[in-house]
Amino acid sequence: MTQERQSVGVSKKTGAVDDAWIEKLNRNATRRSRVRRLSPVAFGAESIERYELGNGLRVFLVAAMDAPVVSFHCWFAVGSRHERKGKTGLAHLFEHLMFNETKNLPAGTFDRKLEAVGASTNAATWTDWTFYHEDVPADALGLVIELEAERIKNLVLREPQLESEKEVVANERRYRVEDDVDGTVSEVLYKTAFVAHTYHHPTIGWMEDIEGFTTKDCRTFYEKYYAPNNASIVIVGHIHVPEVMRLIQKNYGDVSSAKLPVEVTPLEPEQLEEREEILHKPTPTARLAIGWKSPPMSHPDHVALSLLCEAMTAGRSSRFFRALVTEGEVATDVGASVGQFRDEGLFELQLTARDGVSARELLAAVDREVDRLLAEPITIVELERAAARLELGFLQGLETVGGRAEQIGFYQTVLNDPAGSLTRLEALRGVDVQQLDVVAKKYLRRQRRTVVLVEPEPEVSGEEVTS
Amino acid sequence: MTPTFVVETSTTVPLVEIVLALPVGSMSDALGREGALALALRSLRRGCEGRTSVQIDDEIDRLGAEFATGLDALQCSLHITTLTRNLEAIVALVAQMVLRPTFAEEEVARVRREMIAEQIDSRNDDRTLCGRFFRRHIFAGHPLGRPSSGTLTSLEKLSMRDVQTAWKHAWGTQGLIVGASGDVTEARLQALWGKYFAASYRPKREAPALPDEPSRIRGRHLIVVDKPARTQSQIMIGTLGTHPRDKDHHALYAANTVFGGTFTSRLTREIRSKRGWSYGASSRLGRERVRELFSMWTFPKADDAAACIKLQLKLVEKLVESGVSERELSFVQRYLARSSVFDEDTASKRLSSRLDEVTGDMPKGYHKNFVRKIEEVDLEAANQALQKRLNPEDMLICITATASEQLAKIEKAIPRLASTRVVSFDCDEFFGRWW
Repeated sequence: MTQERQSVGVSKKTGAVDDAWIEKLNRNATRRSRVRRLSPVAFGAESIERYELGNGLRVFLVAAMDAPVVSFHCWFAVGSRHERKGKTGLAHLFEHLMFNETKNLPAGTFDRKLEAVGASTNAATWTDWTFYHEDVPADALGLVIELEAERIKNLVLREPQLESEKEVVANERRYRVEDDVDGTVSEVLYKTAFVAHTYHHPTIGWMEDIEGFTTKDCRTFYEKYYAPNNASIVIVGHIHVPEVMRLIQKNYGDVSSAKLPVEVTPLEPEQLEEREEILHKPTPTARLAIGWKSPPMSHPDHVALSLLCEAMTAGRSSRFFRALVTEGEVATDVGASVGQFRDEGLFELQLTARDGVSARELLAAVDREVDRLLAEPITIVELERAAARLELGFLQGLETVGGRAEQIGFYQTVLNDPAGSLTRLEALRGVDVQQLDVVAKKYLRRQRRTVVLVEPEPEVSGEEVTS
Repeated sequence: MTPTFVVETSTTVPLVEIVLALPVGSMSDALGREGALALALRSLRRGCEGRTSVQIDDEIDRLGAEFATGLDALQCSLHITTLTRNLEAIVALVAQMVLRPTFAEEEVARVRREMIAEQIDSRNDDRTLCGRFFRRHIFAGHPLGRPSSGTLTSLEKLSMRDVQTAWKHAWGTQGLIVGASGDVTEARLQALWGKYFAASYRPKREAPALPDEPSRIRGRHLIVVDKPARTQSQIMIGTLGTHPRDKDHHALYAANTVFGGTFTSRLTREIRSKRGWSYGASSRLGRERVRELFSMWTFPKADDAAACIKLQLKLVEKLVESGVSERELSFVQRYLARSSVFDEDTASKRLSSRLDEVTGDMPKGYHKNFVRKIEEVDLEAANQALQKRLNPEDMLICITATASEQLAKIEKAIPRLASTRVVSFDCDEFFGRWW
């Protein structure tokens, strides 16, 4: 793409196109490939240009000319929430398979072609979404669009590749869960906290499910969910908008939309009593995880609860860090987050105990701090510190074109708002201490929480060094 | 005395990153006092003239800033990230912390206990364990083999004097570099330095000399980091690699990229794509002021570990014996040249590259000339570099695994194995030369 290219109906300043240019683009278009221009959305100093193809594909473009690089993201609104019992981990396994063979590309060619132009590529799957991304020198964006469109249209699923990829995913599971105590804790926490909703099972899937997938499972999944009307493309970087839209129309315009299945995710019943799991693991230090049920990301309380979480636990000046790590010396670290999910999630707190401190003792220390929080709410000074930290984190996420593309894709997929991160930042600035107190009392109740305690198994090691 | 200023300005986001880099690293810690400089660096935020540790933490968070420290064998650094609007306030605070630290006994003791707790906790991470014992053994007897953050034993031994002296020496050593990236200009940075640091900056000590070249491992040696109930193994295999000043540095770099530097490289193809043995499989060449390592990393399930090690060694043998092909070489040359645009697409990355050269980690012009030098590598040079630098018979193999279940199988899978050591995962030692 070159910035110099100009044509009628194209803004010299932003590269955005007007209705006349769109009409020209659509002159020979089919119903599927017709491009519709939607109103742009402000994204800080930049602007998100929005388009939609007749087949339902949404496209979000940001021209950022600081460096000759582009980040391409394709987000699908499918994740592990769409899986059912016995078939868990399919969305994630499928993400791996998308890097394999297509009708026009033998196995391995997809990655090879990208490497040949200096691009890097990867993907991620979570509960509510899956996304694929490439960071690429600007002059090779056309190839990326071609390759991404090819695998959405022509993926080939064969037994040998599936078997090999199942083994890779099983190894990924061993790495992230079986041999990782924190991974195990997180898995047990969600499994215990959710009894009906599909957030109960891990995105990577249960081992026996991973081992049991067939090519038929994968093909059905592909046909059901990998359709343009279930996808959003985000491109940020050194682009020429008209040229990008021409390429999108050319490569994606012939893909049929699909009749997306009606989602039947079971509703999670209200949690009415505390749940607890105790694990014994070969770990040198005890672990503790607590998950309080938290609202969906679209809920008005979500912003205030996220700010509360930051004020409570983030930074060395936070109450929990000070009470448990620096001064109390019962924990090595405190981590916390509020789940950014479409449905009710968890306000998670994860702690690692100091040597000799049991998980039960750590829980007692956390309980004291939670009680104190409810009795002595967050102050204005604490709120301001938390807001400043969140602003820093938000801005750090905008430094790269990939970071900006990810924010746009995530908020579009989860909240249907491509500039949602900025909307949220504004909302954060409007939260006051009373709101923090309200959400603390509403959500941090014992009957809403699940606790996982990990106690170390007696040490098994023998001689320190033997030759 | 004025430090060297390196600035990369960008107004993309209203953030500023500042790095203060000093040419003093953990190899300056006295023997048996490993961790002294690490403890001093971490204690900087635990009190300074006019502020307690609580006040410092409060202020850093209030300003929307981050303060971190970095340390390796050869240098240490302080890193500040801040919202642009609070730049001056955080510089003023850090100046107090750096120039007038209190190093109060109680606070230093707290930091020491934090470091000890973190070291104990790090035993949970099998990959960290594998990397730790791999480095301690391959650089055995050399300063690079000494742990920068100390051991439980050495940390316990450190006195207040050790800590104070470590910082006094580091800050009193000539060669400070002040780097900045983001929403700041060099004039602004210099003005802030002039206002808050200049009057008190009087370094007298000369930077310590670089350590000798590490000695190459001879023979094949196995370290098993023994940990109970492992379903998976973390494996690192390697030897000494290249130095950026080596004439064949770029040739070896290109050849390694063919072998294990990309997602379609030989190692990834054989271990992950064909056999599904490991989620990740890669090789790398470390680049530092002192010769660093060539290393391969894989993590197969426990039952595949022996076969995986055997195959990896065979792949290195084949690489050295038959070399890379013209086609493979030209592919990675194109890949490295084109992807280099991502080495400088943000101000932060551009700063990092410039710091590499100013600190002496890389020769002057290393990054600017990197693509040209890679493109100049011919097939003969690449294959000669492999033969000269990598001997498949001289490799350290380190694996985190349950020894009682895996040791015999692994030993059997390694032809011409010269020695084996089984080290408990909670072993606190580092080692003298042992092969």
